[in-house]
Amino acid sequence: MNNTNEIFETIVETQKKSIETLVDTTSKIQEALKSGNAVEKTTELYQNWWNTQLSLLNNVTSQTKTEVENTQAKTEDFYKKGYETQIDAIKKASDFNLNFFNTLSNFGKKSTDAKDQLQATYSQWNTLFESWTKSLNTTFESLNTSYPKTFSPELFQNTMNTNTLFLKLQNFYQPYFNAVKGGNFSADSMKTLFDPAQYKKITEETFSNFFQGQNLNTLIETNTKSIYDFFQKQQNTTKEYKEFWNVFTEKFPTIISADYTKFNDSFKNINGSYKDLFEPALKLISNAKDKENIELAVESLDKSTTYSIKLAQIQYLLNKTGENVAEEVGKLIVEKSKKLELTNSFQTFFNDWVAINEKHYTKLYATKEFSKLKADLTTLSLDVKKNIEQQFENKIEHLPLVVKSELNELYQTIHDLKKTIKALESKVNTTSKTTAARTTTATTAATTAKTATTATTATAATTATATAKKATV
Amino acid sequence: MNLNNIDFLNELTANTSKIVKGFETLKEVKQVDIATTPKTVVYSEDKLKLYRYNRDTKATYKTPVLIVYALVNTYQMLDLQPDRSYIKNLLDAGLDVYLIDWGYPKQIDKYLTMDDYINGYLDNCVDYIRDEHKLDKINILSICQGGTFSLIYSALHPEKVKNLVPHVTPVDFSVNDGLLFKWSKDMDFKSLVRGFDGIIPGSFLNEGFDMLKPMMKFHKTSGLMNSLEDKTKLTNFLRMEKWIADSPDQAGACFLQFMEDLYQQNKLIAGELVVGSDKVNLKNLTMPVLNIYATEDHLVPPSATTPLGEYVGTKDYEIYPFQGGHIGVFVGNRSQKELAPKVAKWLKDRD
Repeated sequence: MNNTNEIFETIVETQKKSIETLVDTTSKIQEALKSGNAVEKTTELYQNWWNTQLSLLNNVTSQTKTEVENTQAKTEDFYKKGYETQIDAIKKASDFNLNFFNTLSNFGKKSTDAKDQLQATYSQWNTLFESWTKSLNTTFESLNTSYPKTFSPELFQNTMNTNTLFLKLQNFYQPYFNAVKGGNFSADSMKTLFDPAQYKKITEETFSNFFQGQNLNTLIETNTKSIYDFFQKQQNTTKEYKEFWNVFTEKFPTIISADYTKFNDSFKNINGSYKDLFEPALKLISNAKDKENIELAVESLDKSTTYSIKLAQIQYLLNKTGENVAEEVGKLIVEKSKKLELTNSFQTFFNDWVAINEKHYTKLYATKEFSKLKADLTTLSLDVKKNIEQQFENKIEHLPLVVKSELNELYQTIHDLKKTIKALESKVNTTSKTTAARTTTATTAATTAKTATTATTATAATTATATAKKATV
Repeated sequence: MNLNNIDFLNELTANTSKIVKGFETLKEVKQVDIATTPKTVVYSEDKLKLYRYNRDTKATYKTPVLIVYALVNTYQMLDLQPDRSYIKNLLDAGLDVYLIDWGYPKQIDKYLTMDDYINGYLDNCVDYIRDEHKLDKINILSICQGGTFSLIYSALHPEKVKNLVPHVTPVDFSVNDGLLFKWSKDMDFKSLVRGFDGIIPGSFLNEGFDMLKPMMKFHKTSGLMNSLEDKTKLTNFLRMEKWIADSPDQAGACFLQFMEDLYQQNKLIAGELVVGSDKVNLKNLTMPVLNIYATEDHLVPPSATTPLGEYVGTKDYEIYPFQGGHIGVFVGNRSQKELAPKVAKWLKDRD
């Protein structure tokens, strides 16, 4: 989470609270209407609501201010954490090296002792490495919150992640190497050694941006809840209306039991009065917008579902390609072992693995199927984003806030006006330059005319004066 | 085959030690500064700034050059560090150098169109320089999307351009040998602009660029791993990273026209592109043109760049292949010795 997000979330939280107080105020107004003291209560409730809004707005201002001020402190915190992490790492690394040394010194002893010791060291390393990676990542995440976009501290974090992948990849391929060492590795045995579930995890790690399902689940849950809440609310409204109607028929039995025309007229009058009475509250609640939001939520559910399906398709393509990569890597191991070209370096193997991945995934990315899926996923995710923004805008448009669509209108107007002004300025400049040029020509011509007159050359004077006149025109 | 757990642990330990050491080296790096060649703002309009690079001596060329960079990323790549600076090399060659910094568009700029950028901002900068130097025509050096802009501009205003030098500039968008060109054919750009509310985030574009080389992050971290213990290497690495991360957002209206009219419909070479109220005819490019492209360019493949000669109206047309990638053209070792001298000489012959 970065600084901007925190500020945004504070604002969103405030908006959420605003809506909560709005709903609360509305229900209180409804209660006041039922109890018959609507006029005085409504004013009081409005006053309270307004005060709450003010305090919320003040709160968001102060919170975002603190957030910005915290940046400096967070930077210091980062260095402190970084320092502590280093000290910790050095200590753990010393312990590790000691154990490692013990392992090596055990090699002269029974082979099982050495193997056990190595295994213990290896697992200790794993624990150490993972905890350290986690710790560093946390540290760098905190750093990310403190720097502007132009700096990319996540680089260091990525390096750590690559190292983690390096470790996972070694875990995955070590059985291959062991098989090669044991002289029983072949294309067939490779199939037995290949663990699709494990490799899927590596693919997910490598292409993590395509494997983030959690947010989508949250989105679907939120939308489902919003639809459920709406229908729940509708039921409650019907229930309240029924209860009210029961009370009404009890209070005015004569009207209800009389003839239909009389009842209809009375109902119209009553209905009109209620409309007047409810008008302030109706300004706060708009069923049309509620309904629109539900329609939007349903639409976004549809799109999210389509998104999930297409995401699964693209993930399938990535995993399938991953399997092809693993197969080619296996073949490479066989070939290299036959030619005795395998080195002691896992880094060399890792580089080969990266190059084979590059080849296969570039080929996948160049397919029409991938391109189309990627385009659809982008469009769908943005449609859902837009949809949610619209729901949000519908919710807050009754508040004393300027919403995005209004700002867009303003931006468009400003753009058009600026363009008009610039065009006019350009015209003025051109006209000024032309006028200046004409004036210069006219002055020069007039001077020539004067000289000509002095020289009593009548013809020249007439011509020059004519030129001057023409230039002035 | 001798690879075993101990070998692996040795390597992993070595890598981790590098990372720990890198932490120390990072502390030693005080500032990652780029674009340090001194310059002065001589004109500004909205978020645009026109820089003139300071010279200690008088320029040895009569005609100044205006550098037009793309809207994607920033011009700072041309002046990444003192010993890798195309701009410094041009200055050293004796040129008077101006450069447009388009700035960082915000919500209020979302309705800026290609017309605003080309017939508005770019034309105003050209006019400023013409006035300043009392010249009818100036030289334009342009890069990537800025190159396409400059082709359009020069075709619409040929009377203001003396020589034109587009670098790594896409002109034929129908090609199918670059991922960017392939993906663009399937993308619904209207939805994209609407979804991003009129401003295309630079981070979104960067993600796309990263995907052009699927294993980029591993190459990069591998590079970083080898630079961690060397302060100079690390600083240079961070300079490039700083430049990459500094990716301005794009004004939606301009982005939409660029992607739909060019990437999807290839209107420029078809003579169907309309900017403002005028149709763009590349035959109007009657000034000398030096078309520079990168032979290993994965962003703008040579096939998108090289056809320019078939469409221009000039007889003085030269194509210059540079061995390297899209960015390597400007920051590579060879570039420092070859690119600026080549361009400077070509311009001198036509000054």
